[in-house]
Amino acid sequence: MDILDEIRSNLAANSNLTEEVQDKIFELTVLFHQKFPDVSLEKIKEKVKDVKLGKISVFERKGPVIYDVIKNEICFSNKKLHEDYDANHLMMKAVLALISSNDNYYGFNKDDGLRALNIGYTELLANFLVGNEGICDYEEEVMATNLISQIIGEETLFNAYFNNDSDLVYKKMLEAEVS
Amino acid sequence: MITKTQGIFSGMNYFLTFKESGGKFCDAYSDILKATCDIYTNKAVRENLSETAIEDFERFLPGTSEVFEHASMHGDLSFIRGYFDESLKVRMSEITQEKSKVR
Repeated sequence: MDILDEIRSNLAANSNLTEEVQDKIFELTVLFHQKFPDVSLEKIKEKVKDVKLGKISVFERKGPVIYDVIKNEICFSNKKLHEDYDANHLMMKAVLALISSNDNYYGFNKDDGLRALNIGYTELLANFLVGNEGICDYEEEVMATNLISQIIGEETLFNAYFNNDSDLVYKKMLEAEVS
Repeated sequence: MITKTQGIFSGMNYFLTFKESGGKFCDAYSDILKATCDIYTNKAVRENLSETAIEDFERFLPGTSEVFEHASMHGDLSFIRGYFDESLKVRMSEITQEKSKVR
């Protein structure tokens, strides 16, 4: 059984998710794998066994979708989802988080030190993979991430993101600094 | 002493938290971009970054490529810094106005 078959099987066995959500996560994972075949899917294979859907509190301004790594939960803001967001784009960001997460964080956001850059880069990747026909809440983060990728190289961000390596980002930025 | 790198990343995090708390566009963002541009321009002049990279940057800050050309010809880093100082103020003002119209 190849890895995509295993992911499909794990999704099907996850009673926390409706069939529609299972299909969407699988569809976006396949799309990602076609574009980036060298990125390991081992993490998402494990995560989808018991990933849940949850809600973001109305008192929180985060969202409309965030992935809680510790709880392995994709959380949605009901209030915000009534606004003009692209659901495909939102779910792609959740899938990227699943693919890139370890036990404590996703991407390169170790200890929350690179939270904004992490969000900006996730946004850029999701834009590249599925586009965005709705609202973008993170234009400033995308702009700053674009500039930083010009400084340290897009490949650095890519490798750091999928290997959970925040040190690589810091190292390359410090090298580029003029003392 | 905080490095530019630390300042940029902590500034980005601060601004994101500010937005999530309901804040609107603020000057802190231009400081982040100014520091980022500073590192970028020094690296660009030092390493003679490719035309493609400078073209990408041109999209964000129109007029950049002429500045790089001038700096490369005259080895004048201070010219770039001065240019960005003024240009960023104008660009940030434009972005603020665009956002005000949308909101």
